[in-house]
Amino acid sequence: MIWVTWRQHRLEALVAGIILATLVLSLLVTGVDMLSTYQSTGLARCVTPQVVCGELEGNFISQFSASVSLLSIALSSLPLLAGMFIGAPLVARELEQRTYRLIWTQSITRVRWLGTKLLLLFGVSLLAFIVLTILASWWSGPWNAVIPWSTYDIRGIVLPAYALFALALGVVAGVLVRKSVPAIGITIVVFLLLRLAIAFLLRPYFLPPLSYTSSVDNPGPPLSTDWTIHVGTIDRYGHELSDSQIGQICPQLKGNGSASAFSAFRNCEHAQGFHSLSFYQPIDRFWLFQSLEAAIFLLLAIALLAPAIWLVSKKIT
Amino acid sequence: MIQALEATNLGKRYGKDWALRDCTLKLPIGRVAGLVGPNGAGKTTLLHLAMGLLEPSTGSVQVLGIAPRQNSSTILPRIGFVAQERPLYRTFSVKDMLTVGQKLNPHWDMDLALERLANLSIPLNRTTGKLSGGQQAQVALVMALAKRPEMLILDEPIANLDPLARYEFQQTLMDAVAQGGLTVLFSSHLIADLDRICDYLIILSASRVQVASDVESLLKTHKRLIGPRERKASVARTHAILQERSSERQSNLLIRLNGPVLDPAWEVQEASLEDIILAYLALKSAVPFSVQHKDTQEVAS
Repeated sequence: MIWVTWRQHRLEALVAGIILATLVLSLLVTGVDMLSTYQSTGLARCVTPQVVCGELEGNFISQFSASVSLLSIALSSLPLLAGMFIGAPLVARELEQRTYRLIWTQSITRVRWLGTKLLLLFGVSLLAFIVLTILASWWSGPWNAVIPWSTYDIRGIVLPAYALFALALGVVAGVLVRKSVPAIGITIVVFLLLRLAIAFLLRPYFLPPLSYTSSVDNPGPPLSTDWTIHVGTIDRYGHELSDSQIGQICPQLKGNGSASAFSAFRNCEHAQGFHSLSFYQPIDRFWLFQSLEAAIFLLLAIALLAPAIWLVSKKIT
Repeated sequence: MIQALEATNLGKRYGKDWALRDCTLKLPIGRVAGLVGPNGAGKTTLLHLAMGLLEPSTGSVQVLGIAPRQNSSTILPRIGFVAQERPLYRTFSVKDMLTVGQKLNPHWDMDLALERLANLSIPLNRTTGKLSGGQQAQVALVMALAKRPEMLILDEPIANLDPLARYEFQQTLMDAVAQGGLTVLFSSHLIADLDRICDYLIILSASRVQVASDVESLLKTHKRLIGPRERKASVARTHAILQERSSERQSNLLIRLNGPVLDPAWEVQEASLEDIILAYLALKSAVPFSVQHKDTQEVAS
């Protein structure tokens, strides 16, 4: 069955290998570049916030933001690709091409057939994603020293968890709709919905965010190493104000962006007793959040795979 | 006694529709059985139930004395199966397909597979998608045979093949049967071909088993009667009339005997297997008492 799995998926393996090699190369090249800039500019020696460090950080970010975002997009789309092209056709293709009638009537039970395929394909994919995430963690190291939360999705332990979830989702979609192309469609939609819903609706509140009230002139913490979830302005009673409310109370900025208008506006804010209120997740929660999110996706993957195996062994046809 | 195939009240339902219903039949070991029936009669369903590809909705099925669905690991090595449309992995070479068979079957006989394919001059390195229909059918059959099965189940193996490919396929099949010890059950539309290779016949029609009998006794118990139309009723009292073609005076009946025809007014003729099959296929419902192997044996003797 190992040979059969290899023979059936060697094309996917080749394509995956090419993608992996391209990514590894890009990560190595930009990673070395980023690391040497980080060290040569003196950014590495900036421990406490200093004005000069802020400038160095700004330069560093603008220099590498394009390559970091490009590679981040590439890395974070890989789990979905695995789900689409390995997971979804895994059972669906056998059903739609009727080859299940051939393969399930050899002397091997369906459970062993599916079990071997899942073990091998999930195992190899997992290995590839572990290699990628280790490399991406090294690659993003200098960047993470400046704005660590921005690379949350492509390093640490979440990336392999996303991949296992996408694969399981693809398999179960294929089992349910029995056709590769609709299964790929379902995989895309469900994966993106869940992945984005968790990233934008759930992740910010895995733990209640910390809050910090400060003068409107000097909002902070949060630091750049924290994850700022929300910054707002509150009045002296602690009620949060919308921009239009602020504009009504302190109208100095209306239609006029000059420096004098701005200082008049600030004076008004001080006079009203306005403060800045920030909600943020501190950097020391990073790995807790990663563990939580990885656990969510792993549980989802198991929750999807179990019925898929049951359906293939007992129900389907 | 263990039967090659034994179905008891076997049925398969999809929602409200029955694909197969009340199927009760026995196929003794060592026979070459043809399974005929119109499209949608449940032939594929019956064969899939026998292979454990489907779960029965009602009743039970046993192959070589084993329930296939529950004991797939025991029964699968003992049956060779060629599914409808003879599915193969289209991007695999013939050699790859043989390796699949070798990796997944404990009694795989690679020498046999290679020898048969060499005899048929099928190139091992060609992908199966590029083979002709006849060659694909041969590869599928060779894969089933190389399992060294006790029983062969073939679902429309020669459909859509040209006459020569059909002939060659049957030749491979009959060679395998001639080696002995193999039970074959195959479904087919092509009645003329059944005549050549079957010694047993199962007719499914109107989702029911109409006939499950060996060919010899089927021929003995089915006759064509030609005689005066007004005496048809007396025939119908004793025998089952399957088919009737009447002119004003004369009736031409295909009957299943239930004893000798005593009335000398009727001329008794042999019925061909094809006639008998066609008569059963044309039936809209089950004959009052269906022909089972045991009954026909008694009548014949």
